[in-house]
Amino acid sequence: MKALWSDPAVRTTLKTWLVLLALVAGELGAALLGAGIVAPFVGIAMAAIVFAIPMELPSAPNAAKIFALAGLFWLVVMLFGLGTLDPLTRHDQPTHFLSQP
Amino acid sequence: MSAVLERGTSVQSHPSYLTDGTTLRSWLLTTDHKRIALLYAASITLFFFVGGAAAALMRWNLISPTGAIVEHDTYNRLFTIHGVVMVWFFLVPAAPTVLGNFVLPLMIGARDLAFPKLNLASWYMFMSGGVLVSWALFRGGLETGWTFYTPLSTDYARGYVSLAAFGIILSGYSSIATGLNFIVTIHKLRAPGMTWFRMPVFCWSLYSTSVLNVLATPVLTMAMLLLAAERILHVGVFDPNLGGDPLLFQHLFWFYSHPAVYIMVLPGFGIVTEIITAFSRKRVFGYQFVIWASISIAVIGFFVWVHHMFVAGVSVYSGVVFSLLSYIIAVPSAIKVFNWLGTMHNGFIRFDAPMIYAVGFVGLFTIGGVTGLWIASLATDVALHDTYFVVAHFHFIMVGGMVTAFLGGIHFWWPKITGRLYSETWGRLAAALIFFGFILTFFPQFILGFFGMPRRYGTYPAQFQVLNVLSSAGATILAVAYLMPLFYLGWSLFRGERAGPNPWDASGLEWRTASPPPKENFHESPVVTWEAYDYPPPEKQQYSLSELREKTDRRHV
Amino acid sequence: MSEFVAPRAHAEFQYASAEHQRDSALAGMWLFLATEILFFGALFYLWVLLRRWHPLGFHLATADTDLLIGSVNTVIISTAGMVFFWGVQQAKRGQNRPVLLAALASGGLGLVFIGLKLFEWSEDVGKGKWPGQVFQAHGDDIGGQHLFWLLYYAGTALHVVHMTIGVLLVAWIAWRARKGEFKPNFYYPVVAVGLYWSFVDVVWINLYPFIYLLGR
Repeated sequence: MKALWSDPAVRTTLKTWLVLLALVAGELGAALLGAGIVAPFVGIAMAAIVFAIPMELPSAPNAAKIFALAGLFWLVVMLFGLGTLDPLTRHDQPTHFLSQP
Repeated sequence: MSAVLERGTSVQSHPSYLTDGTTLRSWLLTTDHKRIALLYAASITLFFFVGGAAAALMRWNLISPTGAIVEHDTYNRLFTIHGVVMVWFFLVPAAPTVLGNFVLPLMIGARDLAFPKLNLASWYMFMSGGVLVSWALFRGGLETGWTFYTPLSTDYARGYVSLAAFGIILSGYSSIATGLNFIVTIHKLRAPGMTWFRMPVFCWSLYSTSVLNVLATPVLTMAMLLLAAERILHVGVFDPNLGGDPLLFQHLFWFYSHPAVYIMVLPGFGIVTEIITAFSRKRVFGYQFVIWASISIAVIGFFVWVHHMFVAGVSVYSGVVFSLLSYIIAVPSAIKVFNWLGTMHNGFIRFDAPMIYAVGFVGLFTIGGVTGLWIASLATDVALHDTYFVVAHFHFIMVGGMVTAFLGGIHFWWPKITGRLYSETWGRLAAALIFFGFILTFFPQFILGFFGMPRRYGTYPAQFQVLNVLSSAGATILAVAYLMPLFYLGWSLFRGERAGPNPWDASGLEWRTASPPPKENFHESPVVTWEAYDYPPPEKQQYSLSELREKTDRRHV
Repeated sequence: MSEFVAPRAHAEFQYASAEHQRDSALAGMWLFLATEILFFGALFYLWVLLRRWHPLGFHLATADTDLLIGSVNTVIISTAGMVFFWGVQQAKRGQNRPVLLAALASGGLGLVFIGLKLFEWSEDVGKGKWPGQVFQAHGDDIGGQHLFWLLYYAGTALHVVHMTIGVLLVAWIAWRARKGEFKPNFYYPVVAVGLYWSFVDVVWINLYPFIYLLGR
């Protein structure tokens, strides 16, 4: 056991795993208490941890870093930025659903 | 700088990538980027003529105001298949997978792409997509237009929408694979000394195109998957009856399809730069401007997609923002036009066939690009949207521009790819005929659109007939002109004079290896110590202009 | 996907060295993951907007999801990812046996995830949540609830497809580890598969709040 704990690989893995589990517990708890709105942001934080540690982005080849950042940039700025410009500034009338009288 | 001006008069055929394995298996299971380029060439040529046949039938129908040969529903299916095939099975793949696949590794001094097996897989993905779309075509096609707008495509269309959608998804995976391959290749496989800023402009164009392919296509995949789900399950997020929003489909569709038009045309910018520098014997004017313009077009190209939706019901606020961004993207394109003109200025200009195509591109692309500003402007777009003005605009860019550039590239690199020289007389004739046929076909359409003739209609008011007949006449000339290269290029494969390594006396690493190249591209890996386009300045040219013309003029062939 | 050839330290002919090939393969995998970010991103884009337009329906629909299975699955997939990460670190030391164990454990957890997901889907269908004519729900904004469930199936089905591919890749790594192929100077296939596997984890980590937690 001690030998296992002295291995830095095991320590990093276990610590990261525990942090992820804590975050899951946290967001679950928040949701049950009615603060579910924080959950997607916890999801983003967990994603950041996974990118940083098991996926080792900070020590990846430079080209890889550029590609990852490009993907994230395009997602955030493009899709969620410019892409929501129209839907959020439109003022549609609500439609009637077929299933309602 | 090599001063070799071999016309290959006495070169015997030598072992090359063409002779390395002659079985069907060696072609269908090849991982050699040069052979894969030829596999793609066969496919996209076939698709070009399928899409062209649809166009021919459309133009024939439009000779008469009441529709000469087909009914409305058939006409709808014709323009749909024309758009789907020409966009996804010709324009998007052609320049990258044929010319890019063949030339890119040679240009950067690499022995192959980064992932050769992925390259082969991309061709099979492409063909699978083509099979599905062809299957949809043979079963009667679909009538939604290549834009697949909902709820027509999800609820009301009677054609084979889902089948076509899956075919397009597969061709999209092929584009992603090719783009991924090119990006990693350019990052990682440049020869020693080939720094980023020594790469020819064509490589930068392919890089920009690949960024678009890789980041935009996945969004199309999601849009088409949800479209198919909505059509098959009869529920969906794009259906207003369910509280969904048809504009969401358009947002996802155009988020891809606007970058897609730059995917289609950016390689053309690169090809034209290569041809103009070679046939002006001058380094490109403003190298840094050209490459940063390419990158800007690729990036800003992601920011303008709502300009296809100005009259669809988007908020005026977003319309203003996207209109402004669409104006901004005209700037880098215009910069490039000045770069090409500046390159030609004071150059040693030879009007071989590739140069005719390239110069034609510059003129026609400029007209097409400038007319884009009319439709980028909100007020005028209200009148011009969905008219023939838009049709003329994009055909000037895609056909007058990109198809012309593609043919120019085919002619330019033909000696390298095949080891043969084509007939220069026929080449110039076809190029000129294409240029004139094109203008006759598409210029009247600007006028038609300005006066209000809507697009995607098989009939029209009688007062538009003269212009329509002119356009159809031009289309006939174009059809003949596009068929001509099949003949003289095909003939050259058997009877053409053999080419030396550098028949044009052009710069570029691809011209420093044999024509056709050996399987491993270079017998020795090149080490680059010179800048791109290292032509001598005019006062230090080795030959006078008349000597140069004499050495490369092959009109007698 | 990248070129998974070159056992030992030999490199494919277009590469100058094994390091060159390794760096290219990893760069290629990250680029592929960037495309996946855009792919799933498009779905999240729709989710955010439709949620905004149908807050009641999405809120009611969330109550019908199986929070227990969802949460258990989140724990399982995070664990699977971390176990494989430990395996990646062992691969860098050329220790094939730990890689084999990690791959088997991680892949096994992945299979449990898929199994639970299939069970959950059968539950959902049983509750009348399959989109279309058969859809049943209680309360107001049935239309909004219907949209939620459509997005739910789209997202989880695409995720399960990716998960399945991931399990196959992990199994492939297990097979290669069993043959003792990985060395301190040749281990990048494990890293590349690990990247893909962790990414599938990231997608679920972001689906989980949208499906089970928001509006509960």
